[in-house]
Amino acid sequence: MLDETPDQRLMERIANGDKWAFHVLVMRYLPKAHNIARRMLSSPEDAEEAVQDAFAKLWQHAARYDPSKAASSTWFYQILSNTCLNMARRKPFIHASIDELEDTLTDATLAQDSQLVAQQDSARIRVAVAALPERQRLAVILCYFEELSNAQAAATMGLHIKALEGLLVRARKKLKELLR
Amino acid sequence: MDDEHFKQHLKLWTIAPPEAALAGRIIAQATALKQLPAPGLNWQHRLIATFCDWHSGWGYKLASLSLCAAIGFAASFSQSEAPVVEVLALAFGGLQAGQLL
Repeated sequence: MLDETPDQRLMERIANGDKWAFHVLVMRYLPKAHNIARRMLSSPEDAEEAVQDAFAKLWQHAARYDPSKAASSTWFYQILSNTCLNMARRKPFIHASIDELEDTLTDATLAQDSQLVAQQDSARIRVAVAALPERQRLAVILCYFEELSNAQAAATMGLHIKALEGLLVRARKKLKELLR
Repeated sequence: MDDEHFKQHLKLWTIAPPEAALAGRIIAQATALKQLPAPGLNWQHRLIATFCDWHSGWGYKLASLSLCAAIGFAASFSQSEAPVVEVLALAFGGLQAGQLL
């Protein structure tokens, strides 16, 4: 079954123009790719565009993938991360302050039910993460939301692991201040 | 809040899954694009395609044809006079092959 084929074998087949292997890989990587892009970028349309671009690059450059350098997933998330970073620099988040956001949400309904609280928390976190500089945001998304190990996240971002840890420390500090 | 609780707290921000048609759109859009050869194989692939594929490498084909035409044209000027061989004499043994009038 192609569905159980290792990523590396799928990459070889994609390099030879196998569309079914590409389909399998898209289904395998899409959920995480979509989450990363959606958290990195301000609009769903931008996130979709970034994910499409990254997969198009994977298809076009599959023959250039070198398995001795990185796992295919790392290679793909590297492409996606660079696409998202470029797009985030071109189209920065429209920052809403957390206080403004709380006012809006609280005004919507005065009932303090659990759904509203969860919604409010989710929105507060979204705004706080959006307020981080792009690279800190990406580090937080990869490590804390997508649960990549620090080594994997560093490889994805093309950084030394110490540099990634530095980004995470600064990001955590700022997020804690914002979410206090 | 310690780091572990902090990370758990961040996960309250959930993302809706992508719409079902997105995968199909991605596959259709990407596979419509031409795949690029591995680095280093680029010129070999182009050369092979030029020989094997009639509509590939028109630039090289035209350049080669023009070069051949130019060499032929230049050679026609450098030749002094065309050698005249008496065909009948050559045929019936009046002249030895290669002997000119």
